[in-house]
Amino acid sequence: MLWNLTLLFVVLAITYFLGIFFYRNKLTNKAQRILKLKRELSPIISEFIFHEEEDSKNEKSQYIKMKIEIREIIKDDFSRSILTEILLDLRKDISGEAQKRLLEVYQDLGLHHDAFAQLKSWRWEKVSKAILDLTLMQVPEAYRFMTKFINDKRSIIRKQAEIAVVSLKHEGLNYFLDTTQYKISEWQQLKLIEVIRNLEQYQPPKFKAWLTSTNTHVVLFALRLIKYYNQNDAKASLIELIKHKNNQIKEQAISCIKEFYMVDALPTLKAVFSKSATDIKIAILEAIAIMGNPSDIDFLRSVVNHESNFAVKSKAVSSINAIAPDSIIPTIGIENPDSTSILNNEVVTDELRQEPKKDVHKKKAHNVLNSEGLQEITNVLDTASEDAILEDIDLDFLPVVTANPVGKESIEKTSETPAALDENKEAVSIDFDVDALAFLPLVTENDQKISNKIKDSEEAIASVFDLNVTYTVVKAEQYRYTTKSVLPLNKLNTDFKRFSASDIFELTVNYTELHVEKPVENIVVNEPYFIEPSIINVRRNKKDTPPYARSTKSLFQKIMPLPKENIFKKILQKLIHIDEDVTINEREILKSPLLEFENEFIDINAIPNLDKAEESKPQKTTAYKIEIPKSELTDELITQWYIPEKDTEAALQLLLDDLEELGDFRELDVLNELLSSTANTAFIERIENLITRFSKEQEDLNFDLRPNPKINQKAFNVFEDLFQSCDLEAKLILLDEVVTVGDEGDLNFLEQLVCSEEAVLKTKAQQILKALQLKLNIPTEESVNVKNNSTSEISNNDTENISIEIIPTPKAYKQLMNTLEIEPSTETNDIFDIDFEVEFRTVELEEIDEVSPEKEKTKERASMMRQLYSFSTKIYKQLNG
Amino acid sequence: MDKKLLLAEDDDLLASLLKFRLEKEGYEVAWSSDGRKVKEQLKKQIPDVIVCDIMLPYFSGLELIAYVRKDLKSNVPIIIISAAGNEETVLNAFELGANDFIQKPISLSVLLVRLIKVMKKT
Repeated sequence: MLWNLTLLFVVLAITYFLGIFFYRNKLTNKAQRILKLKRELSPIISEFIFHEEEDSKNEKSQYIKMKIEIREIIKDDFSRSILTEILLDLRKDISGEAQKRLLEVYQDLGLHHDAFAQLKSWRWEKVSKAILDLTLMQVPEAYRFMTKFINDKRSIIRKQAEIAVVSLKHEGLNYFLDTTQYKISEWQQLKLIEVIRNLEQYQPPKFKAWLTSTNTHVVLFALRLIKYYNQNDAKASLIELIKHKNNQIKEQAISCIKEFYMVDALPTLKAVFSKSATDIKIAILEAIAIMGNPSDIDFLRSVVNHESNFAVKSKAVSSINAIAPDSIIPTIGIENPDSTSILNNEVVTDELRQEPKKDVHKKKAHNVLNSEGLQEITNVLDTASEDAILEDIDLDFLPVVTANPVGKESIEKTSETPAALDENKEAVSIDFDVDALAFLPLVTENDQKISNKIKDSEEAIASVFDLNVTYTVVKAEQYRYTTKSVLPLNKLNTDFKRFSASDIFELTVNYTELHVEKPVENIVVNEPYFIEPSIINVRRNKKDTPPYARSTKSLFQKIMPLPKENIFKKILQKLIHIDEDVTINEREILKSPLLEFENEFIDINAIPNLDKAEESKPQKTTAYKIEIPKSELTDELITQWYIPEKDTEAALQLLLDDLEELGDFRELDVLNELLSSTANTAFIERIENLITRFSKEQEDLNFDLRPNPKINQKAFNVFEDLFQSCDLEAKLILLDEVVTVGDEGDLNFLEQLVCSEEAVLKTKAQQILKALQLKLNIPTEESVNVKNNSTSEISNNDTENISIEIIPTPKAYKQLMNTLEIEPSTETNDIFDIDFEVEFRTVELEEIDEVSPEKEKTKERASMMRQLYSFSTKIYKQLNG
Repeated sequence: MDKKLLLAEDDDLLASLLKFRLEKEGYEVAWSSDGRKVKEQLKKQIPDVIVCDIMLPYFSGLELIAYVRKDLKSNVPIIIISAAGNEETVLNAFELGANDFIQKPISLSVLLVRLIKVMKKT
């Protein structure tokens, strides 16, 4: 039984192998035959394509000879199919006159008849291929055959036929649109448009004719074509199609209407709006935005009010703004900068006092804390000379001590001060726009006890809401200007460059007393917001200064400039007496983000009290007792503001700070200039460091930007390619082949293999690499080592001898090949010139001694494999004569 | 005297067609189907003009351009042809020193005109 089974499996195995060999050889021979035929046919085809009437007699006779020859060749079906294949291939590679001639050759040789025959096949792939061939070869006779496939059940054939019909004849599209009953996919529509686009001298029909088609896909395609060819004569149909049930048609119709600016469609668009889907609604709103007029805004407003869908609502808003720009301005998340202004005429009512609770407070307290809110302070500085007019100076350098949560609102104008405030004789009333006083500390009076446990600013803000505060309603239109040309400073700030210096100096500031109801105990102090005063332009012209600008100017002189180390310290000392012993219950310090201090002139370290407050920040909020002096700002209070002059060490220091933080290699020139101009060793060292850093960056950048001359495309390596799909045994066999046919290009591949994880492969690769190097006369690592060692040991006179030793000799190569059991090729490197029947020269063979029995066996095996390999080919050849 | 043209194209059919046409126009065409052979040809002799496909076995057309310009330091005009006419490849080719680019399908008339033009320029 076992023997029978063995026999059966042996028979099966033999049959299997024979089958494989036979089939493989069949394929190989077919491929060879095709190649041979192609080589034979290609010059003939070239001759046909480039034959000209003006050719010489010799060429003409050659042409006729070839014509006869090709007629003979194409009698064979196989040859015909190959010829067709060649022509189809060439059709893709050539264009112009040569292509036209190629198409003629195809028809002249009657190859299209094969395609016609295949159209009758029941196999869809054959039919499809035939349609494709006929389409590519542009055989007009094929048109009538193609039309039959327009409504074929098989979608692939149908789609192929659609393209064929459209491309073969200009009226093909009309026929297709008239007759098709099936869906035309989006992709197919695009393909058809592409085909039509490439048709020469194509006159598109009036596609509105198909807007009445019963096939909705035809209508849709017609709409696309109408839009593509700008056929705007279908107004009535398009407007009617807005009411179509199909959303795609509706959308396409709206798109056309929008494209052709059909204003007449607006009423219909509005009418269908309510019942439309969201996408359609958006499309309608887009159309109204483009074509609409102010009378449509009401409709759009009603959409905004009644529509629940956010996208539609947003679109309606944008449409309103498109028709009437800036009709609707952003309202959500917008801070009201006017809320910080003080109005003279406003009396705070009881209602208003009670109305704003936590939410409002919170928002406004944020305003106070938020640096943005503090950036509105703009002022002008006159330095030494009274006549100097300075522009663009910010005064956000002073601490903000909030008097109440709403900060600046607590300060009110004298004339309208509530009675309660008036009664307090010590109250300070200031009569000017609050922004002008933004440099002053804002003091918060707190009647309630602030919790000891407040640790973060959020909680601090929340606690501020509990303060007993006086509120003022502030409206933008209620600004009262004390002189004819005074503008609100916040506005002045934003549009500063629009105003002349005289406008700024027209601002009148009247000092009023600052009212404090009780001795201040619980005060919230915001840390100052520092902005570097920037002087854009100084114009020293007396005439530019109006007489009424004096009062403001004096204030500026009082404020600016002050040496940086003194300014904050002095103001704090004059205005607020800080007592560190007061407990936390009494007061909290709210700290604005210290980020604001970056790149500023103010040296925080120079302000001791602030430092202490800052140091204590992470651990525990420090409490301070602050006393507000009940006096006006005096000249002594505000002295010179520090502005570092150019070319000073401080300026250089700042410049280097900036460069260090923000600079890049572009600053190298500046740095080199600075290096040559400065004598300070500390600066020199710093500049040198920066130069080094930026130079490196530049090098890196240059390296990145440099066009890479090396091509990333790796050269194709046949062995590497084969290795990817091989098992270990096959890899080892392939490695043997590398020695035989390999060249320099394979060295890299072998080096990669040497690093392989598989020990067998690694060893083999090492041997092969060595053998290949020997073969190619490339010094191996060993030989190089030998050379190095030798040169070090032996005198120069002996170098020649050594070099003789290390150059790989044919003997060494063959010895190695013998070790590897590989038959080496001839010396040629060309893969196509390899003679696999190479024999060693007798002399060299004699030199090869001692072959182990194991190696002999392997050799025999290899020879057997070769015989098996060629066996099937031989059988096939014999069978085929 | 005929102008020597080296045609580097791996598609036998197209190469044969181009060779036929170019020879008809009086060029002495040497055809190589892969990068290695092209290099060998170039080592032997530098032609008057090179028409080179980008996608070639062993060495791509771009590598060959680099080889001609950098290793051989030759200014021989090079026209590259490719079906892959993406911008990056074309720019890369020009950066490396190609003189002209023709996208497949090739119009042979256009090729002839461009050959004359690049040869005139150089």
